[in-house]
Amino acid sequence: MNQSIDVRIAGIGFRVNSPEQSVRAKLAHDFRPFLHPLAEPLFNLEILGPMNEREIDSFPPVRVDRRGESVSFEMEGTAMADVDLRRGRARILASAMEKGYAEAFIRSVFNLFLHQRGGFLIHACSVVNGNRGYLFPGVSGCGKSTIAHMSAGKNVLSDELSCVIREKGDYTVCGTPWRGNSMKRAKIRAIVFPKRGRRIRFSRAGKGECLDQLVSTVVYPCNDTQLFGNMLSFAGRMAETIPSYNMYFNLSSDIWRRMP
Amino acid sequence: MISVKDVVRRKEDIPWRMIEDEAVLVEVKKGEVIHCNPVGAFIWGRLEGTKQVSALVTDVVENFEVDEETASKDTLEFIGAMEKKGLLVKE
Repeated sequence: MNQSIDVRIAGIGFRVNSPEQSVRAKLAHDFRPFLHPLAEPLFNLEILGPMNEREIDSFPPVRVDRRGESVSFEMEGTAMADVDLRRGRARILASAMEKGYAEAFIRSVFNLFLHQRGGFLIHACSVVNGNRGYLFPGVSGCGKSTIAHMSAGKNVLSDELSCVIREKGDYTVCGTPWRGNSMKRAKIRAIVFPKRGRRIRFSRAGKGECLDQLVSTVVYPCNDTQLFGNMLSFAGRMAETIPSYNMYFNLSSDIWRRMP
Repeated sequence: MISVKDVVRRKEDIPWRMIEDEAVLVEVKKGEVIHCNPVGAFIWGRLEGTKQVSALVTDVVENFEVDEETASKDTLEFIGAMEKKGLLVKE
């Protein structure tokens, strides 16, 4: 019996293996638009133990340690997951198999491999208008969900967590199953930083300012110098090549009428 | 407290990048992002290996057309701030 499901997100394919049918069914449901048969997954993710259905309201701090090509995740002193970056293997342990935790660990492992390849998850709303991608990075409360709401009729990839990769030389924003479920992807036309303002106004952001704000909103898989260096290089090239703007707006603004 | 006679160097595990004439540094353990203005970026870029602070002051005078007193004040302020953040060390 097939105990695995194949998933592809932002061009990164991984295979999830679990002997528990309930786990596979849950993941197949959550990743539905992203299921894709793979000849060679980038990494294999093994989930051990049955998934409990207790909802997790808040996530305790996770300690992430990298030693060479091995990364371990610990929560409250208990091992939850470990990753072998060199062999492309990851295990999520039975103790992590509360419903909320499992999803977060899968996302963290995916983000690790994403950073290693070049790319990242970022706290940003992302919208595709026609064939143009727009990335709206920002901290909690800056208006990302409001922007998503104002973008009805356009393709909202995510209102909170967006995926950026490099594809055929272009910086591309992609849909993920986390806070959205669109398979769409598009070349990033502009990076737009939401700010509160009395009326709608766009001003060009400097490249240094853009890099500063990008780096502050990237989701880091672990505190590792090499991965930070990768991320800084990737984000730096984005800041140098993609036009960026500060967008001052309020709830009554028609942001798409003036969007660059 | 830093003085112009001190010798300093960057810590090795600080990812950083120049962008135009500014620099963005990341203090990995705290996940802190530090943005350096052009003078700070220039000084940081000059810190290849060990360097005496007085030599950095001279570099600033030559490249930014400021008097020595201003260059010294700015350099000491920057170096002091970076040392306080744990990004560089005194030899």
